[in-house]
Amino acid sequence: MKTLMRTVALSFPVLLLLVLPLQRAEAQREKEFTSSSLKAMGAPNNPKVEVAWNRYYDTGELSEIMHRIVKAYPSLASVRSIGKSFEGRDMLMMTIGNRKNGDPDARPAMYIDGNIHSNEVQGSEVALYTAWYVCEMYGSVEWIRNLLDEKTLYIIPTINPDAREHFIHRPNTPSSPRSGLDPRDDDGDGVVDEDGYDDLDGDGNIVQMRIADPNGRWIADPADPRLLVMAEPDRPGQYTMLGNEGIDNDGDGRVNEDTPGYYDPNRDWAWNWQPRYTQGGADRYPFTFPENRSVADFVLAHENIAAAQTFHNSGGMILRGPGAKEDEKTYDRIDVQTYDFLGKLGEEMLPGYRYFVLWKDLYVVYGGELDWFHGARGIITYSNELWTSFDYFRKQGSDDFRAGRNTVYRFDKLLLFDEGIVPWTKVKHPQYGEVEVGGVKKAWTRTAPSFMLEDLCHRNMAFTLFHLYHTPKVAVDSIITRGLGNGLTEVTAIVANRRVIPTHTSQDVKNKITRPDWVTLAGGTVVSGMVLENRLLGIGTEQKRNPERLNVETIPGMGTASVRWIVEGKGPFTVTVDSKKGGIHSSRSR
Amino acid sequence: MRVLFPLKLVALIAGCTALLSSQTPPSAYHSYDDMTATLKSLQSRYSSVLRLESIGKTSGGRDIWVAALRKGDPAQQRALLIVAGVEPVQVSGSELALRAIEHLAASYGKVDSVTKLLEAATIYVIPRVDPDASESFFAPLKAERSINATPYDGDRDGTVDEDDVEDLNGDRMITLMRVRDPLGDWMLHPEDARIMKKANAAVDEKGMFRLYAEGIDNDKDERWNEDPVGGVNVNRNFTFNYEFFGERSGVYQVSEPETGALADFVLSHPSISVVFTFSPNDNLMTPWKAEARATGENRVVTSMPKEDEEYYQHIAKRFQHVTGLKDAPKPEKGAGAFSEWAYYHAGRWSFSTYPWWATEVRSGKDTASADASRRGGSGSSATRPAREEAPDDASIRQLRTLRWYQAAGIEDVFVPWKACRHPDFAGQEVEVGGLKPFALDNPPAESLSTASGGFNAFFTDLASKLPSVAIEKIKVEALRSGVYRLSADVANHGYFPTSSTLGDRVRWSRNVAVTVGLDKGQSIAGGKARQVVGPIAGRGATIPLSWVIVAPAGSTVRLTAESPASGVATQRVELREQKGSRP
Repeated sequence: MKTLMRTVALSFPVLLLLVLPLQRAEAQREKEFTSSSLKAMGAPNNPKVEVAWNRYYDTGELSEIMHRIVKAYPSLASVRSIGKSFEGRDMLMMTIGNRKNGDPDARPAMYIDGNIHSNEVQGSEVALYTAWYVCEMYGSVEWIRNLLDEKTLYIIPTINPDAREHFIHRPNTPSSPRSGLDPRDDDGDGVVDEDGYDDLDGDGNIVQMRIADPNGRWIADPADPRLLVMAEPDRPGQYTMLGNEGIDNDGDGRVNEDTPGYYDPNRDWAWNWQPRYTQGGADRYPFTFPENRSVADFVLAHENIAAAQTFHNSGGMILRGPGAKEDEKTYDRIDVQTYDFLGKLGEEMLPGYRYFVLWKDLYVVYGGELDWFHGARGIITYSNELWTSFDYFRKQGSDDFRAGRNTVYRFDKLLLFDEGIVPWTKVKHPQYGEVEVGGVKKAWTRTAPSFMLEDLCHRNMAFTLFHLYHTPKVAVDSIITRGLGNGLTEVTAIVANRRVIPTHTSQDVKNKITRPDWVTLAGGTVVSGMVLENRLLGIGTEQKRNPERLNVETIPGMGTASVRWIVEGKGPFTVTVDSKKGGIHSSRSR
Repeated sequence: MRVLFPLKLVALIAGCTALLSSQTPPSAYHSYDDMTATLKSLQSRYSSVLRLESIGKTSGGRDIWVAALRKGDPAQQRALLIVAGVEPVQVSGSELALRAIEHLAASYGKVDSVTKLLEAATIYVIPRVDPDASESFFAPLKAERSINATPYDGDRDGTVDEDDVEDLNGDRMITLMRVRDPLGDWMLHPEDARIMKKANAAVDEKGMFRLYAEGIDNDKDERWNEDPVGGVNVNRNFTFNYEFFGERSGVYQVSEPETGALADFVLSHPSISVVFTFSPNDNLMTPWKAEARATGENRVVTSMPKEDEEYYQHIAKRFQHVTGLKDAPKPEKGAGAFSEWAYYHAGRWSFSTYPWWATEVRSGKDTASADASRRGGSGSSATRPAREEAPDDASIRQLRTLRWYQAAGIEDVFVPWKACRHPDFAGQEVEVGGLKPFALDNPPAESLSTASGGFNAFFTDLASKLPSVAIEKIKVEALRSGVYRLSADVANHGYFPTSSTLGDRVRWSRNVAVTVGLDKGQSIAGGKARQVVGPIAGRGATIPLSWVIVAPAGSTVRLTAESPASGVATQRVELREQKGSRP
């Protein structure tokens, strides 16, 4: 026993040296639980980039996650800045697509952004989750692999980084600042941003103020004393409401009337732009703000973008344009069919979300982002309003787009154990004397709680991935040759689009936004060429100039276009279809 | 500096006779470099009233100059802005703006009205918004060019700047090209066969020609000269009534550096309440009218509120009276035009007219000589005036222009139609000819003197009408010792209101701020220490205000009323009962 003890004692340091690193690694893996014995469907098991999708990230954290994804998946992901924000932050964009399969900028692409309204933060998490998920799953899910081999995602998690920082790190309501941070004179007194909110209790949340007042008309709600309700008409009240937490900083008799900003970055886009007296939130002219101008410049320089998605909160909506009735003409029947197909797919994938036409079902917007993408660029575009009253108790109640106070407070009591509400707290107000502050915290009601955020990210991502999947994919379907004698051959080619979105939307065709698809013949001398309107009857329009490269104005979704040449030569002939938004494909005749 | 247009002198084409112009360019028009040198020398000569600054660079890298004319307190910044060269073909407007700068600077201290003006207000003059385009007036090859230097895919075919005009007959001018075609839309004008007129089928007119600008279909798309070098017409690139996918309107509103510089200059100068622009979007010869608002969901404003109409009517009358001008061409309805933007989206009073046009030659001998110049017209033209049956403003203007030059003794304003072999129209009859480039808008420089005098008088008159704030009828009543009711009228002695009805709805023009400056021991018991009031109508209209002030007897407060557009008025008021003020 003694001997044994000694042996062990002697060998212990040696053993320790051998075993310790292993133990340490083992201990670490156990601690993180990045993989499990039974992988749930959906999330990756043992991801290369570990990210918790149940919390919100500031711009520094978003940037770090983006760079970690790029480091782990260099052939699938890259990150770059497309410009600077007003305060000089980089506008970081990820390009996702299999680089080993060619230049991602030459493939059909989808643009995704979030957070144009700075308080509507979770769009950034959805956008970034998308980049992360497709990279992580590329190796194990064939559908994702095919998608990234053929298509490209451009993802800008936040296009309002300055004010995202403000929302997260400065006192705010769930609805502020919404604007970007270029200062403006909101109250017309010649001074900018001089009367914003004031965080009287220093907790980072701008909530409500009330003052005890026997002549007030409000009382504590007997059902939940954190809420106030109007006193019965014949009963005395307890409180007077004083609005959002704040001070009259500029002594003009008004409180919080000139906050940081204020303008609406989503009324700054160059389609049916209107000035502020017609459209609240509009500023000087379209793309006044560098964030939006950078996006516009990027999109103008990338004609391969055939689909776009922007994320907002809240209300549970899949919105398409137009923002104003008079623009109904820019969404004609063919384009609406495409929108309806994907919109209805979205309603199925996103319970509680409704597929809406902006001006008709929500409100009128002039100069909105989605209208510019569709109207000016002919790109199939949706805006999703993330998080809905349905999500609270997963039933369609009497609440409309946003949950009512009672639902919010009930949910807070039953599922958040009072965490989401600041209880009424006494503070000294320099102008009102002793008041109480209390109400909904900024990271709640417009944003999902932790345990529902991952669900929100995944479902919305899935909708956008089907949208990307249905961007056009062109192919030379078949080449039919017929000898004409005298060394001449008639070559007929059918080019197809294997997806639902056409190579040019109707808006694109009408306004010649994107150059036509080119169908080119090689392997003979072209004598004449025509684009066929009716292949079976041989009816078409001759293209007199440059017939080797025929201009096809669009290839419809799940449809074809046909062309015909008279060629000197016997072949074989190579036919190539080259579409800005649909990719390139070649085939050789036998 | 990029070359603005390729000098593809296709004089090689057989059959074209080169017409050698005997006329050298009008010597007194200023090229960009000449204009810059003149502006700089004016600045050094009149340094006490004239300051030259650049509001930005053009897409071709030139500075866009603004001359600020002002004497006296820079805080007193009520301002008029004069803009020229948004339509670069109208070089005459640019010339008149330059002459206005010189006139104002040189008249200071010599002409009372100007001296008084520059001591109370600022006149900004931007003489050439798009110099890159206007340079074609001074280039060896004369081509009317209304677009800036931004490369632009004019026909949206995926290729940029690939189908510019060409000088087919080697006369160093780009005129017109007509192709005989019984299916064409164009015919010879019955009053003057040199002029092409669009056939009006409603009165049984038949077309005989197709009409193009002189050039070749370089990109083989069966369209001629549809994607010239350069890109965007600045006067189609502003936000009001902007035409998306329009010809030369740009990829989006305010996409161009010239547009952005001009818009930012106006929006960041709230002192400017009145804008005058040389452009075809005239509202001085044909004033704007308030039209009924669209109803329903469409909230877009396309017509002025009724309240603003009288001011446009009145200034138009003044303009016609001061200048004596008549026979103006019809205004062009703007699409993204600067002058319309200045009112509708920037909220300033905005006036515009053509810098020059040929007036009708009226005297007996002039008519005779004009008649003599008509050739080839149908004999029945006298009994069938084209104007009545088929209003055709473009050809009326050309007819007048030809008569005017004829009466002025200038013969070679027209390039006679001459046959020309054209590679795109093998076997067809093609002729090149037409009014010389720039002739419609730009007379010989010496002919601008009368116009210049009229415009200068109008500018002085217009600037004298700027809003001007004053504090009047100050009254102090002692409610008891140490408590005073102070009342005063804030007045506007200018002709124009402190803002238009529309301008009041635009964020960029603040109205009149009234402040009561208090010392220690004084406080306000009633009324506001600072408030913004207005608009205050012009011609002595007032807004009455009052305050209750608790202060020691005999102490004073400072009352100030100011807005960037209407100036500053300030009064020190002693708080003591005034005689006879108690009822």
